[in-house]
Amino acid sequence: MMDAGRHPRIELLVNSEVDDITGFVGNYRATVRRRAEYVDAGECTSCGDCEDVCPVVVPDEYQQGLSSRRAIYLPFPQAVPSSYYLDAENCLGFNPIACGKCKEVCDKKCIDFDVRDTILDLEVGSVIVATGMEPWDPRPYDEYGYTRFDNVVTAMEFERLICAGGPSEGELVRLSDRRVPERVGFIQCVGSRSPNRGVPYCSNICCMATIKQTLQIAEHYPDSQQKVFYIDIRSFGKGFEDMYRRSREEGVDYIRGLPGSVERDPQTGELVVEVENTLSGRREQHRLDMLVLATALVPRKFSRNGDGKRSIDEILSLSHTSDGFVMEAHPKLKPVDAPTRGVYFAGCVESPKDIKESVTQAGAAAMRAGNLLGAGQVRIEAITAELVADLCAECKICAAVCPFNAIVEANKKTGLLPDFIEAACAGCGTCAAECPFDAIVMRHFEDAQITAQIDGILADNPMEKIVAFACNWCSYAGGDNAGTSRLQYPPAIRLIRTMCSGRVDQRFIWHAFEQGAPMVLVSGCHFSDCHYIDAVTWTQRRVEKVWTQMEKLGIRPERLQLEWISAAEGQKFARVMRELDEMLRSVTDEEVAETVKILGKKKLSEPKKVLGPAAAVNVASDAGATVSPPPA
Amino acid sequence: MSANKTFYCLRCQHRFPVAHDPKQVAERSCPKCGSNSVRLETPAAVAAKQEGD
Repeated sequence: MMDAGRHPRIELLVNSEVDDITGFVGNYRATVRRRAEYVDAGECTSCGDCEDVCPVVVPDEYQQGLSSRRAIYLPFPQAVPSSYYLDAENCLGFNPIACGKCKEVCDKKCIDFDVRDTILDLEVGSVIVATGMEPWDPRPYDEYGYTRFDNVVTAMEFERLICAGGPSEGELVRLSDRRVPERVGFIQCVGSRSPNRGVPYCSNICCMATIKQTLQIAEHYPDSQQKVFYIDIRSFGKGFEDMYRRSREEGVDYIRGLPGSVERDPQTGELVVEVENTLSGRREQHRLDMLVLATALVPRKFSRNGDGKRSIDEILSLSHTSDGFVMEAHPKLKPVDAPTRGVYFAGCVESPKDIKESVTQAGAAAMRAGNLLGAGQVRIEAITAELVADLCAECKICAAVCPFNAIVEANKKTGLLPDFIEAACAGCGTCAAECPFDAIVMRHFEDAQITAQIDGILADNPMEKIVAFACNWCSYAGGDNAGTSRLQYPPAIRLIRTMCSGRVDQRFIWHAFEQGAPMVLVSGCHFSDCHYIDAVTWTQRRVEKVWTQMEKLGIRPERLQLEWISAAEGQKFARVMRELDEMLRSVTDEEVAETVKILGKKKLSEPKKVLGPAAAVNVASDAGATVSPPPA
Repeated sequence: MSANKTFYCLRCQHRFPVAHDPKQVAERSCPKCGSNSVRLETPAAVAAKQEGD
């Protein structure tokens, strides 16, 4: 961190918030709000005179609240920049100045209460998101006594207690009486791997953190007894198993089983831990002086900035996996890339990881950003959206639905046509599917190409076929997976590949039914796997709309099926196809003929005509998109 | 605001309650058959279904 602070080509903007980021790969414009720094970091020599006279005492967040700090303080010994920081929320010297003692004693005159926030407008080529994670709150796990007993602490609190720079200067003491604990216990997976009460995933680092802490205790207090309660120890990684072995050799007792209760003996003050040892099958009772909870790591909640504007994940259109961490563009091939080009991830914002992994990922992200900037140009997707200006009604639905913000209103005042940024377009086709006027052409996946495939499929024996739209990344790959796994499924299915299920225009579905399709399937990625951020949500909205319309027209909605199948779910793909084949048998010739007759009159597969701006506003409200009406 | 609404499965016809927020689009699946073809049950949908029966 010190190196980064001193580097001539790195500018650290501490105490700052990103208000907005616009633009596209290689051409981002970031608006950064730099919070007022009342201490001039360039002048401050960290002498500490200001801290000595400050009358305000508040809990020290860095020390996990185990010690206190003043309203003007050095955040932590290695802080960069190494200058004092004035906590404006707790300082008494504001509006009007009621205290001002720190200012009086500062020889360098580097404290100024009149400083205000500044807004910086930065042009950047790429963005790296490294907003980290936070520890899980263990208070719901009251059986471990965290809220009831002083000597039950979290791993983070323990880390401060045993650190030389901590509140006890490295002396491990229990909080109830400041005595060195002779018997220390650790409970693993507190909150982790607990879908009902905590989080379902493994937090990755807790096992090794506990092993490290047992070794620290063993080194400093050789006579201590240590017990670790665990489900299983996950010590994968270079040298990790060796550390685990050393910990056991130091006499640390590893007990497989999570405690059912922790109570305090009122006579002795000891913590009494009840646990079923699943290796011996016996119920055991352990008496301890201190208990450490290895809590889970959870995604940092992206907070909205001070003015109630958008949070950073909204600004950058970051999507999240089901566990709440941000989702990478591809788990194997683009593990540090966000789906939005030019945006990268580093550290625990992507998943819980240790220092080594974080450093590796940060290096990779920096390299990716460096490659992008060094190249000076970007290669854009061949499959992008193109506007047909003559057909556009300026309804702005396309801009509202684009997951990548690749479509912007060219000029809000004059209501000119939307501007398509090809470099930002990822080619999902949601805009083309949502455009009611067919004013957007999706290169390589044009309407005519897809309808021709539908016509081809249904040209012969339509009653024996199911028209299935499958997204390139998940469902189509799921079909591949089923094939390579040699899973059997009926031959009725006919796949039409689109890059994203968001490309499946409702007119394609109507066209298939018009042409005599007994059944249609729309299939895409699970929401948490969508390669186009949230394009898949538009698929669901659209299919729900078609179901409603089918019902109104007297067509059974069951004939249109929706399914989310990932690339790894070959078995699900085969099972769904078997189930649809069963359903296909329930559709009669008469039913299909009736459908063709109904739809022949309605002409739902044809685009709407451009009727002028007023009509466009109505269309926009139908689609549920929030758009403002174009000017008259 | 999410409230419990009844959804029904277009694959197995199973009806089940789900916390539903009309402003949020969430991935849904039938707890019985696992199908994603699940639909919010509206009065119109019930009427149409009864007519079909």
